Amino acid sequence: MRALEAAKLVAHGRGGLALGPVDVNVLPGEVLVVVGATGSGKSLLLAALAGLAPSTVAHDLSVGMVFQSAALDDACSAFENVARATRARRVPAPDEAARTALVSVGLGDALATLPRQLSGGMRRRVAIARALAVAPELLLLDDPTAGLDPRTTREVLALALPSGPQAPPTVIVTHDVDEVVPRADRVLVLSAGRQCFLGAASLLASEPALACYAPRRGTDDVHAEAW
Amino acid sequence: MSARVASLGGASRAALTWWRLPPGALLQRLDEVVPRSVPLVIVTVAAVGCALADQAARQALRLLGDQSFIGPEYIVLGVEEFGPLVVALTLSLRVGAGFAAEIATLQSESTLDAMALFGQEPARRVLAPMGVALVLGAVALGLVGFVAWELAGMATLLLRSEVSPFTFFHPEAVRGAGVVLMILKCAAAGAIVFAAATHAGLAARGGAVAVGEAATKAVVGAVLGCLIMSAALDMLWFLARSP
Amino acid sequence: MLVALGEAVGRRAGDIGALLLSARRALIAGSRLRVDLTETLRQTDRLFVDALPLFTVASVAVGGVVAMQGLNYVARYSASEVFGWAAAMSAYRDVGPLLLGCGLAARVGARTTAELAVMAARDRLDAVRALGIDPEPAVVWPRLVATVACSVLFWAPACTLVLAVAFVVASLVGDQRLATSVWSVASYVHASTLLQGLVRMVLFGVVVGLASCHAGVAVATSEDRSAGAIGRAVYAGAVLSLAGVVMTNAVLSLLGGTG
Repeated sequence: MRALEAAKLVAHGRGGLALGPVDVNVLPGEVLVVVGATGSGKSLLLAALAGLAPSTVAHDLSVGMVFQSAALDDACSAFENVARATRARRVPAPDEAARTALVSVGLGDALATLPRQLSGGMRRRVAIARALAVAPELLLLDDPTAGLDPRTTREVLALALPSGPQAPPTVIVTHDVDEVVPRADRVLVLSAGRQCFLGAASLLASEPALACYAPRRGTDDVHAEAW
Repeated sequence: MSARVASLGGASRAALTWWRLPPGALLQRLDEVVPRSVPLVIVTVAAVGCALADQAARQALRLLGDQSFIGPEYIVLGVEEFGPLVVALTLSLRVGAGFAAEIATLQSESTLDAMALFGQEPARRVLAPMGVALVLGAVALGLVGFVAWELAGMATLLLRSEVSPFTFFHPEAVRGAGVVLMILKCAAAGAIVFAAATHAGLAARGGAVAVGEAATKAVVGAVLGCLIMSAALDMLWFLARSP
Repeated sequence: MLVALGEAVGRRAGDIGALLLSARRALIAGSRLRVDLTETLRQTDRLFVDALPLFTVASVAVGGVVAMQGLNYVARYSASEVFGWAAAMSAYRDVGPLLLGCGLAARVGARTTAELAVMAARDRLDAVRALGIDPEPAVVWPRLVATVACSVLFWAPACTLVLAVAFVVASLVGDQRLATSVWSVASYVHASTLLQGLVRMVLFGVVVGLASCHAGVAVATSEDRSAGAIGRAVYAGAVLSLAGVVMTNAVLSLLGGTG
């Protein structure tokens, strides 16, 4: 696994939105959480890292991404949504990889189901399965818990955030500070397209202007939860 | 704007090499464009033909006392003028709105971005099959429309004037150049509807409202484009035939 | 194949039944003056201004079509003295209203469907009802009346533009003199021709208004209220409007006189 190195990143989005310069260096197995107000450039940062928006990013890592809206093709089944990605990315035994990924997120019974027939949480799981099935070298998650109940939020995060040194570098954008930030190694706070904090989550509470991004519960609480 | 034009350009390039498109996707789009449009094309072309045949027959009888010459004129009008135009407007309203709504939904839910990210080439898999199906389908529907036009004329004359329907049956009036013009108009209409639907669909941002707006814009753009195209080709056609 | 055909016929029959019911409710509301007049005027103003560019450009294009159509016959039968009459018939009564009806379906109808569908999908119609206001006279019927009003308001200027463009194009592209064309109109065109054209536009407005309002409001009774459902509603409204316009045109042509 390689690290993500994107120093002094500058990007341009739709409607004149500009981002940067921002430093996004993430080691393998590390989770970087990006927080900030609506319109601060969080989603633009992910789009830039994924190569979907014009930017100065020049990494050659293969990317897996979970979009905020799940971004599934409603015209084909959950399995086909994942299998098309594994086939296009030339994953060895692509259909088997897709099936395994869907089973691993608990959707073994919904392989033939159309995405529009699934609940919001299940659609998000299909999207996670697709992102993980292509064995990405960089994992990007755009607000994967938006609109989910607390139990589903925890299940989705457990599936989407791989752990250990062999896990890919992961960047996650979120508004769910309490659930996501305790699982992060570092936090990046954006404001109006600018980087205004980058460091350990524990340091957020000491910055009065950024205290709103500090979780109300600690890492130990999160890890102690029974799933 | 430039991203939209680039996507449209990518889809058009992919459509030009249509034999490399996924056959399943192309067949599915052809099925959406041709068989499902046939009833509407038949109804609209026949209704317009019926109205025109009736008026032509009555005016001819009133002014000249003779209906025998309107058959060849009616058939030429169906091949070169109203057949392709009505098919173009039908495609604009039926398929243009549907394709624009589908592209807008895919765009506003980031599905096209996701497809691009996972290497699925949305221009080749989603957009180009729509374009090829629209161009081929428009030509096929033009031929279906012409048959409906002719039958509507014959039926109208028989029912209204009790004149032999064969007054309208003049296959010799169909000229090769007229058929080429019809095919050209239909193909151009397919391309215009595709461009309008893709351009409006790719501009969609922000959910249901954006999808509704995209479908509306696509219909307006396609109707306008087809009317202008028809008038422009008619002028070129007239000038080309003028001594 | 037969099953699919039966389903399609069943759906269309259902649409026509629902349209007739909507028409009945609209008539009753209109006869009791249960239509919000201020909202109707606001919608008319908005839809008219919104559709003005389309109708202007479409009229120019239709004028070109009418001119080329007429010139073919002028060239073939040396009938330059009836060109103006034939072009006026086309512009005011036959081709003009038909193509403008298609334009009405495309711009005004599609927009009305999209707006009502979004309101239905986002529960805004229910919100209006929760305030103790009946959404039909307050929201739906004003759009229907505004569509008819737009159709009438556009008829004279748009058809006159069609005719003017046809005359200019015929004089530029062919050898048709402007004075001969104008003389032909003055000599041969009767007021009844114009009246028939106006009646057509009124009926096209009613058809497009009913079809577009019906397709938009139908989203409220559907379980699917996604973005795709809005798109499908616009598509259904456009198809229903187009079919309605051409069928109405055919019936009026068969019933109408020779002008």
